[in-house]
Amino acid sequence: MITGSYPVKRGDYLGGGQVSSKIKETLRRLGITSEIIRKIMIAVYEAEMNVIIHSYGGEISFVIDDDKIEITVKDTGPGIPRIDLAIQEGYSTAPDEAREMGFGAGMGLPNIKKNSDYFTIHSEKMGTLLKILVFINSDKYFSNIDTCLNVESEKCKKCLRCITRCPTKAIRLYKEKIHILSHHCVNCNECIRVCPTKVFDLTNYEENKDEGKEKVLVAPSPWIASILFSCLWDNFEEVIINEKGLEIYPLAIWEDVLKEKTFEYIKNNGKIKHPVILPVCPAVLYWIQTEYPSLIDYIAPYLGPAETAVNSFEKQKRVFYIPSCPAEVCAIHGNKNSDVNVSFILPQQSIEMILNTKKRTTGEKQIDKIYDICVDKEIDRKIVKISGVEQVKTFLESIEKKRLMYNIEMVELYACHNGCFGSPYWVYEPTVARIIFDAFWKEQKIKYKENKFDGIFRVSTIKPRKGIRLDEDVRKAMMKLSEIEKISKSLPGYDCGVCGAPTCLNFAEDILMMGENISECPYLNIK
Amino acid sequence: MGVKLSEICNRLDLELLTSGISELMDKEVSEGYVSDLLSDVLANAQKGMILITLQTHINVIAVCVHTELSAVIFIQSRRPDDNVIKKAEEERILLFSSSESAFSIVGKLYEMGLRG
Amino acid sequence: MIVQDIIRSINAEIIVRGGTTRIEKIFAGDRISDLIHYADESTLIITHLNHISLVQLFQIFEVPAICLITETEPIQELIENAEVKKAHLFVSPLEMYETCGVIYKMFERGNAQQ
Repeated sequence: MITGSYPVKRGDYLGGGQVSSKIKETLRRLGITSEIIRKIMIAVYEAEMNVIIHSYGGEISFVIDDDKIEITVKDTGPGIPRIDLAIQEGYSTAPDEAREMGFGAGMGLPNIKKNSDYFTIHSEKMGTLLKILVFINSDKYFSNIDTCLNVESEKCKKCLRCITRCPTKAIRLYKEKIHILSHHCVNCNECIRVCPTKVFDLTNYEENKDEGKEKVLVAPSPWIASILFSCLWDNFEEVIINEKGLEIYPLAIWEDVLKEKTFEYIKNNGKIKHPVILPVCPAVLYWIQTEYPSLIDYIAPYLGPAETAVNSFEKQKRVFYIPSCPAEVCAIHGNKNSDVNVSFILPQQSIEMILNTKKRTTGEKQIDKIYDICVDKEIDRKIVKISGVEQVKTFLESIEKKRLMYNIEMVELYACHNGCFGSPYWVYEPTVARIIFDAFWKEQKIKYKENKFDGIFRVSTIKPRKGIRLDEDVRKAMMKLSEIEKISKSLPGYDCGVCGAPTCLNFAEDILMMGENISECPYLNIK
Repeated sequence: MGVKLSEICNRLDLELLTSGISELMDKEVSEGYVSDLLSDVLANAQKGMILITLQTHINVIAVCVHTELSAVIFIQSRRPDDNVIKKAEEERILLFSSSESAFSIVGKLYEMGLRG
Repeated sequence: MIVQDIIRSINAEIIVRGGTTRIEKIFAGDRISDLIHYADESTLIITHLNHISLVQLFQIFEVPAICLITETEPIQELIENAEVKKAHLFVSPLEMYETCGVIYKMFERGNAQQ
C-alpha cells in the first residue's frame, strides 16, 4: 500500500495543480495505464481547485491499494450549503475572481463524479469530506516471454558495455556473473553486438535429426545478401539443391505477404489505430509487450514473417531456418504449430555453408552484376522503416504521446540498424547489403509468386508482458516499491554502472529483490 | 450580408429554447462572438452579434442586453435554468441550444459567412 | 493535421515551438473544467485565458498545443512550462471566433468534433 498526503492552501491559484502533479508522478511510476491516470487526474484536479476556491484550506491524501486508488479530500470549512445543487452541472458559487480565471464552470463536482468509480461527499460547516475511488484494472491477463540468450560468464572481462547498452536494462553483473533478468530481456541483439569477448550468443536448440524428409530452407534476406556478396545466386541455389536436397525459399516472400495482408486489413477496418505496426521484428514486439503495453493495439494482428514461413509447409517437410537474433528463435518456438518440424542453422554455420558452396559455383559474383540496377530505387511512401533501438524507442514514445507526423500508414520497426541486415551475426556492411538485396528481390519476386503463400492471423492476441510488477500480489508490490524508493535515496544517483546495475534505481530494486549488497556501490565506499 | 436566424437554426440543427418571440427569427445577423468569460463579452462583443457560449448563468442575459446582442447559442447541450429563459423572453433575446462544441459551431457559422 | 499547418493558417505568432505534433481534436473554451474534460495528448486548446491555471494543461494533461487569442502576451509561467513539455504555445492575431472559423475551414472534413 502506498499512501501520501499534501496540504492545499486557500486561494492559492498559483499553486493550483501541484498536488495533482505529484500524485500523477506516483501513479506513473507504478505503471498504471494512462487512461486510468487521466480519469484520476481530472477528479483530483477539480477537487484541488475546489479546495483552493471555496474552502479555508485543506488536505488531499491518497491510498493506492492492490486494485484501487482512494483519494480523500478534506477541508476545514465553510461547507457546501446545497450539495444537491452543487452536484448539478453548471451550478456554481465561485466568486467572480475565480470565474475570470476560467474556474467556476459549475463542473467541478459533476466532473469528479463522472471520472470516479465511487464517490461520496459529506459536508457541514466544519468542513467537507470527499472520497473518490477509482479501480485499477488488475485482472488483465499477461503473457510470458522466454529468453533465448546463451550466456558464458567466464568470457566476461567486466567492461560493463552490455549493462548500459541494454535497451530494457535487463543485464546485471553481480559477483563475476552475468544475470539476464528474464522479465525484462526482449531478445534483441544489443548485448551480442557490443560485447567484445562474445559472452552472449543465441541459444542453439537441439537439432531435430529426422532425415529422409523433404527439406526446405527459409532464407532470411541478410543471408541471401551474404551469398550475393560472394557468388551468383542461381548458381548457388543449384548447388545447394543438388548437393543437400534443400529447396530455398526467401523469407522476403512472407515479408511481402505480411505487407499485403496488412494493407488489406487496414482497408477493411476503418477504425484501427494508426500507424499500424508491422510485426516484422520479434524483438520490437517483445519490447512493446514489455515497456509499451498501450501500443499493443497498433500491431497488425498477423504472425511475423519467420513464424508464418515455418508454419506454411506441410508437416512432412523439414524446415530449416537461419535466425539473425535470439528473438527470432524465441518467436518461432513460441508460435509454431506443434507438428511443424523446424531446425535452426546458426548464422556462423550458414556462412560456412556459403563459403563451402561457393567453391563449387561458377560465374561472376552477383554483387557486380546487380550493382547497376540498384540506383534510384523506388520508395514506398506508405511504409516507413525505422531501425536501431534508439530510433525505435523515440518512435514508440512519440506514438504513445501521440506526437507523430501524419500520413504514416504502416511502420516497420527493427531493433537492429537496417533491420536484420544489421544483426551482429552478419559480416558485411548492412546498408549496402540491404540495397543489394532489395535490388535482387525486385528482380526475383515474380519467380515466387505462384507459390501463393498466405499470411497467418494471430490466434492468440499479443498481451502485455507479465512480470514488470515486483510481486504477484499487487499489495506487496506496492510495499516493495516504497521500500525501493527508500533505498535508492541512499544511493548517489550517478548511474555509473560499476555496481553491476545500469542505474542506481535498478540497483536499489536488486538490493531488495535479489538480495544484492548495498556496499557494492563504489561511492558509498569512498564516504 | 447577413443570415437569417431561422436559417442558422435550421442549418445548425439548433434547439430553440425561448418561446413567444419567434418573430425575431427573421432578424439577420452577420457577426458572431465566442467566449465563456462574461467580462470579455462585455468588453468586446458588438451590437447585433450572435454569442456562442457555455455560460448559462443569468448574467449572460444581462450582458446581452447591455451589448445589444441578438441571440445566444449554448453549446455542448448546456441548458440554462427556466428563470434565465424567462428573463431572455422578457428582454427579447433568442436562446438556442446545441450539442456540438464551440469550435464546430463557430466553424459552421463561419462557413455560412458570419464573421467575427 | 499538424500544428505547424494550423499556425500558418491563422498566421499566429509563435511563442514556444514544440515538436511535430499531430492534432486530432480542437477545443475552444474558457473554462478550466471543460478544457480538462476534453483535452488530451492530441488536442489543440484555443482559449481567452492567459492564466497560471493553463500551466496544468501542459503539466498534468499533456496538452501538446495552446493557442491564445488576440495578441495577448502569455504569462512567463506558461511559456516556461510549454518549453519544459516541448509543447506549442502561440498567439492568434484574430478573435476567437475568427480563429475557430479559419481553422475549421481548413479542418473541413468534420472530424473536428471538439
